[in-house]
Amino acid sequence: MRDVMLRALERMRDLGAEFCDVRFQDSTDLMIRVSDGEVRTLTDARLSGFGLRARIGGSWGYSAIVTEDSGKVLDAAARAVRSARAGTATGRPIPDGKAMTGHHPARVKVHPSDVPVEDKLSMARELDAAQRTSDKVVNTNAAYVEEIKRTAVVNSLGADLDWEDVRLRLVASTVAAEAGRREMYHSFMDGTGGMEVLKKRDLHEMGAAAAKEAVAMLGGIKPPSGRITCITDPVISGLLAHEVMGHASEADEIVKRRSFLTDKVGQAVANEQITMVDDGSVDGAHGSIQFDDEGTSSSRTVIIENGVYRGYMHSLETAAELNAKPTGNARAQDFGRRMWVRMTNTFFEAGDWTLEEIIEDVKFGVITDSMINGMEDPVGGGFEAKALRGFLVENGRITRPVRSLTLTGKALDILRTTDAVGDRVQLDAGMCGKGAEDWVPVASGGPYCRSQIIVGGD
Amino acid sequence: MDLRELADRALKACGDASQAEVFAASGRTVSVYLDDGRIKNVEEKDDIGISLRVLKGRRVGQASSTCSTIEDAERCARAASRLADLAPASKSFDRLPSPSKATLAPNNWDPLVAQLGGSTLCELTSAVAGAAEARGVKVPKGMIRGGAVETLVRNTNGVDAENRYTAVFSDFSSMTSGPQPGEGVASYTSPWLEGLDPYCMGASLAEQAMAAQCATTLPSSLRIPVFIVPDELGNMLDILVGSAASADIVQRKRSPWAGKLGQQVASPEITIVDDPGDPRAVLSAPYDDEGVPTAVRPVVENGVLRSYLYDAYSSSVKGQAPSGNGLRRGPHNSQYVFRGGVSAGHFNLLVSPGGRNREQMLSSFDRCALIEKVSSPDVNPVTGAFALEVRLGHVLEHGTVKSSFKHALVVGNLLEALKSVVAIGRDVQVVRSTILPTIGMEGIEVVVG
Repeated sequence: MRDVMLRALERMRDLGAEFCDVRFQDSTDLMIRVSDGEVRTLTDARLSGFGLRARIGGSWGYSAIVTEDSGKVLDAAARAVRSARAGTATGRPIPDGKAMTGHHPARVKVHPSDVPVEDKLSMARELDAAQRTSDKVVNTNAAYVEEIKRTAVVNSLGADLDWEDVRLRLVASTVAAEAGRREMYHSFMDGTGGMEVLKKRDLHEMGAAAAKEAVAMLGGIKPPSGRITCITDPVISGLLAHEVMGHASEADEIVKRRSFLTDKVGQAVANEQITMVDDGSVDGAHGSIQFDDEGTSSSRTVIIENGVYRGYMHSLETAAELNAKPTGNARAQDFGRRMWVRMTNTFFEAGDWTLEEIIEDVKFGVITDSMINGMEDPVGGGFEAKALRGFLVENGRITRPVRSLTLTGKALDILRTTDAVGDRVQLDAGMCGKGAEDWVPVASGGPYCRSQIIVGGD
Repeated sequence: MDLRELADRALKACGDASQAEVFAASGRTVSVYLDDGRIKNVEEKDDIGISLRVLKGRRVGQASSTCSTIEDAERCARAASRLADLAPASKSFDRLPSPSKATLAPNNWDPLVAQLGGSTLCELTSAVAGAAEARGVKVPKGMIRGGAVETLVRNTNGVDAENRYTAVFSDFSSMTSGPQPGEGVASYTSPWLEGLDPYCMGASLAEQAMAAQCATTLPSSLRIPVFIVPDELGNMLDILVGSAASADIVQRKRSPWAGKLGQQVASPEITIVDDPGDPRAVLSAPYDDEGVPTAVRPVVENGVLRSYLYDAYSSSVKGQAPSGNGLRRGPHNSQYVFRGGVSAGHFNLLVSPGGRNREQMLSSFDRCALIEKVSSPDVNPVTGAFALEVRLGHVLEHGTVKSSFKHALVVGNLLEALKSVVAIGRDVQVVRSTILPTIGMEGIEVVVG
């Protein structure tokens, strides 16, 4: 395999590529889905193939192929160079740097491939069954998702390495119904690592918690509308970090001046209590990676420090364009998709307020709980997050539950109004797309934060 | 190595399976990405693989794999067979579909797309950017992708169904210059390349970005009839109606339309059919992805819920024949098509248009809002609730734009709004797996801070 990769690299160089790399990926996913006691999915999915990139000027040619035929890999290398010549973008050369080498196994205690499928099936079935706690529960769902991904990269700057990432996730999702109304709630347990990742929580408790909250949501009222005091929970704080400040700090958006944070380094952009980082090296977090898909080690990048904007996340190319160091943020969904600058684990760091202190000053507002999704807006700096539910806060006390609500506003306006930052950070796992595709595993989070935000919901 | 050879060898490798099904697919995808007005990436990709479903009595195992060699296909079959040994028995699913003759024969294969090279897409992509730039608006980001997909479904009951289709997908964003830039977006989904008019798309991108730049915050919230353009409403209906009509979702009691067959679920003006024979739709096909012949199926007729959509699994739960709605594919993706699991879904939701164009329709209202762009057009498929950030909307009086706005929330429940339709245009557009016009509804609020 390595021999074919090196020959393909040589072919691209000979044909005029100024920078080139070859990636081989072999990933195996095991997915188990149980619904209402029935095993609906028990699937093993394998994806394996080569991705080749050639850069000429500032343009890239990509080719991807599923084959074991070395001749076809070499043809794909030639196609990548030909495609690169069709581009019209200009750019600075990618300079030499520290080229990573070696073999890097996954950091796991109990590798999932050493655990029988029967055990995993039992976990999913137990998690599904644990949700049957009430007559109001009308649908139970549990999923076990295991991803084992092996990647090898060689590039024209001397990188020659391979590594393994292992990622696990358990999900419980309950639907409750009463008098024609339906509500859904979910619980997760996930991270990078071996089966030890799934020992953080008791399965029965996790399933029962999803069911309990789904039933509780049936009593939710319509959320208030307008600009109000909003205490974002760690999940929604994380969405603000990820969707707006994070996407807008991906340096490919800066290079093309599409980000509202372009030219903001050194400027105050938030209340001084706010510090935000992207850190792909957090032990066990869902977005952690050993290396990005170009073979650069993951790292910690400070984006906002005490309210002052500090910098961007980079690939090899954007680091060259902006005269910075690569940060290990070049990521692709798989060997056949485009490499972009992407986040890993993006979060606000802790402040010094307890949750009780944050709540006690609030005359009227909401506190959010968990999310449905969010959307980026690197151009306008707008924030949109859909919270799964929330609670009214009245005269310093949490009172009634409210149904799903959306939070919106200009991110910088929100961060300038943030007057309390909680003392505990939690990370929440998810999948992040660039636009509506190219999904990569990430985590985002932060502490509880209190800000003025426009909310609404039905 | 062709799909038939892969499928044959995989079925033979299923060992002691009582029934087995293989879904084999190959794809060729050419993409061109534009960054900051210039061609940044040109990509050519080929893939091939299979997905196996193995039944041992009522125990079901599944596996999928890219196939570099025949041995990969055989290995995949053995993996599915091993998982079937481990699976508990299903309560009802014991039979894969039997062969039957197709009645629809849609043509959604564009030879131009099948033979596409990077240079054609480079020209189109540059033309889109050029048309916007000629109007003083830059295009920092854009993409056109063409894919050609061939599929084969075979099972041990004799099903043998081939299908092929092409898919063109493009997505561009534009922005004006200055400290508070306006943004525009435009996308295109179709089997056919010729419908992608780069000059119209570039002009639309420019117009939208300039309008968004001039848009302001509304002084107060609004409760007036709200019209949503097909680009945004199509995604919302795709999620809500697609999910609510899926027999699988109905049986899991997650569907808001569960138990409502024959009941009024929308205004009488609303008729929605699932039409797998429409050549405008990427997913149209004579057979579904389980090899069952497809059929045009009324979902909502004059506001009354007429049918749910069944795949083989959900039809076994109901004890009836599948309706030909077992789908593994999506309209925007031509890579690794074999990887998707089967679920009960729609090919192409066709919403019957009204008689008037958008301008005529809007001018008949004293005051209304037109939502042109939201951040992400989605809706809660369980409850129908939505609250979306408006990135470009307009307030109109007698059809004339009085003001354009952004940074508001459009809030409502689409299930309820569909019961309060005030007008339907005839400006139909293909959006994801829907074809629909602009629709106006009451009961939707535009909220500002």
